[in-house]
Amino acid sequence: MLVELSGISKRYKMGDVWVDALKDVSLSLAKGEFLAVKGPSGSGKSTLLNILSALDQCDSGTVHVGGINIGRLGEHQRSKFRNRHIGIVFQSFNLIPVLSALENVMYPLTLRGVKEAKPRALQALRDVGLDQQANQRPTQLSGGQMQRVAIARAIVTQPDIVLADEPTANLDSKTSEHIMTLIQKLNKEQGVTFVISTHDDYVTGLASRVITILDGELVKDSQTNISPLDRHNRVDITELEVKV
Amino acid sequence: MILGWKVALLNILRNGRRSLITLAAVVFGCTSLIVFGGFVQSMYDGMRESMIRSQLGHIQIYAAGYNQYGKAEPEKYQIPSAKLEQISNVIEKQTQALVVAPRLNFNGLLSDGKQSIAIMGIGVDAEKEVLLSSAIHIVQGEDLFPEDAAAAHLGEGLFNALNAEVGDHLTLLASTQDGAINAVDIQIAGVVTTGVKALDDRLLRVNLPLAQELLYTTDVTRLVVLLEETEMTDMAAEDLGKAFRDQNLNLELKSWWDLAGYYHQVVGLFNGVFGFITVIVLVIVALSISNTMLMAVMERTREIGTIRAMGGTPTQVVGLILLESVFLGIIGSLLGLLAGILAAKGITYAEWMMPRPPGSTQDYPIRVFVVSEILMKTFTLGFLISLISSIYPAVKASRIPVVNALRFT
Repeated sequence: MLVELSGISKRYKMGDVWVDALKDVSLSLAKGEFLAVKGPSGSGKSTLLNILSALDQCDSGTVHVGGINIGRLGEHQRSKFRNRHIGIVFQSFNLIPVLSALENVMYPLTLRGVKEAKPRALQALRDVGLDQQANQRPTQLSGGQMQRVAIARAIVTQPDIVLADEPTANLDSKTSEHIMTLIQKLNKEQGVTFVISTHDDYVTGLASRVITILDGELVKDSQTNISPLDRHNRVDITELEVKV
Repeated sequence: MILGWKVALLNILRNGRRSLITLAAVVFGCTSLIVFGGFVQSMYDGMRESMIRSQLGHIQIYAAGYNQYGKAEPEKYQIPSAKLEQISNVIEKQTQALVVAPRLNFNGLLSDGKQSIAIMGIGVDAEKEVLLSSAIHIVQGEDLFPEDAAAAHLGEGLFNALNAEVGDHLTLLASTQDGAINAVDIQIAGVVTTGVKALDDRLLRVNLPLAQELLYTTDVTRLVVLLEETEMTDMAAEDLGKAFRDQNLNLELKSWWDLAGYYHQVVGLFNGVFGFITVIVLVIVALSISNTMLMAVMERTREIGTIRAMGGTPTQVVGLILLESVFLGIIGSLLGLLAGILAAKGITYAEWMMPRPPGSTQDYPIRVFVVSEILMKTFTLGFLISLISSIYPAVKASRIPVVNALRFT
């Protein structure tokens, strides 16, 4: 398995109140999967993605990505881990405004000190169909084009997994379709593993697997088609039958 | 890493107004240091040359022991006239001396018949002193000439105290080297000022033969050497000392540096003031830069979060922000140097007058030297202070949790 999450829990303190963002979540993900994480706002989708991308740490449980236990990594190592193994696509694109599209895509490679950053970045832009806009600044691009640049930036390092937190939330429906078609294409043709959080049914319809998170709990997994809660319930019923 | 440099450089242009404020702080600091440092340096230079060219010369040569015992028994520590030619030959051979002038110092009383005033007298070679004492200004009357045997120059304060007129005859009394009282008549040829009030209140300059006649001697107290450049002093003094020893001349010498106690006190005082002002300026500049960099970092918190999310390490974030400061420091310091040089030239050109300092008798024009050493120090300080004052904002930025940074709006 590419990703193994086991018994992940995370609590936040909001004011004087503690909030359980994730409760005992376990999940496995194979290479090449296209996983959609579904759930309402505040359900814990973003927290799950943050922990998976080593941006945040869980309070309990373990996270293995590509065989690496990321919970044991220090701050510096986690940065290196993200650079080599994780690609992130943000809802608001988060491009660096002073750099061109090409330079934005080159940036993760230069952080690593890769010398052939430019040809690789150009190829990534070609993959997302934006090589003609390589020298344009983010302000000269449309929302859809900016998100394509962000996707190119996420895949340019050839990461194990690309995490996208509601990547179409700031886009109109037509542009969202284009972006999702591109993600699906990259997933199918290049075997890029995607984990996308969303509450858009169109996005979940394209994913090869959908999990649903509610109040911090993984309540449904389309792969097994049985929610972990259902499984608990069934055991309880069996036990009841035995008792009867 | 070229991309990192580009990001840092372009970030400076991103918020032009804020960058201008930061640059203005660096430019202000650099200009202040260059102008004040150049002004202080011009004061040092003016005071040094004034002392050299009115009293001290570059090197003074005495009979051995004069400086230790000469005040109690001056007659025993004079340079004999018989040796003057030999000593002068050695000096001319060893140094590029412009002038070697004998002086005979004495103390006495100057009387106009109604009152007597204690004086500090110097017998001089009038022709040589024209060049040697070029910083002594004649306020009234004319130069001393060797053929006017009884002619004398009075310090301005002494002249005023006697309520005399140029051309008046006065009587000069002093002890001869044998201890007898002797008197000669003098005529006031001119009134002079050295720029130092304490000296002007007691100074009397007469031709050397008249002083020798008064003291009943043919010896002189010292030989004063004026070199082409003050910077030659140390080497000339070293060469002369060696030559005197080689020729068994029982002499000792002192450079202006050894004799200018007042100069050293003033330099020490002003160096302290300059140091204090430098610290104040640097603190103001540092606070200004630190503040603007903190604002810049705060505004770009989300961008910093993105860089961290892409795999930028905390060290790389610190490096990026410090690189911006390095650029700001270099640009600001270079502009500061330019502004400082222009300001220094402008102030000097304007010839504004400064009021006379304590103990001085003359106002003086403000001159601001452009000193390469000060320029280099200022550039280095401007650059370093930009860098140092950005360390806190940079470290602070690198320590923001990535998730919080990405949520920042």
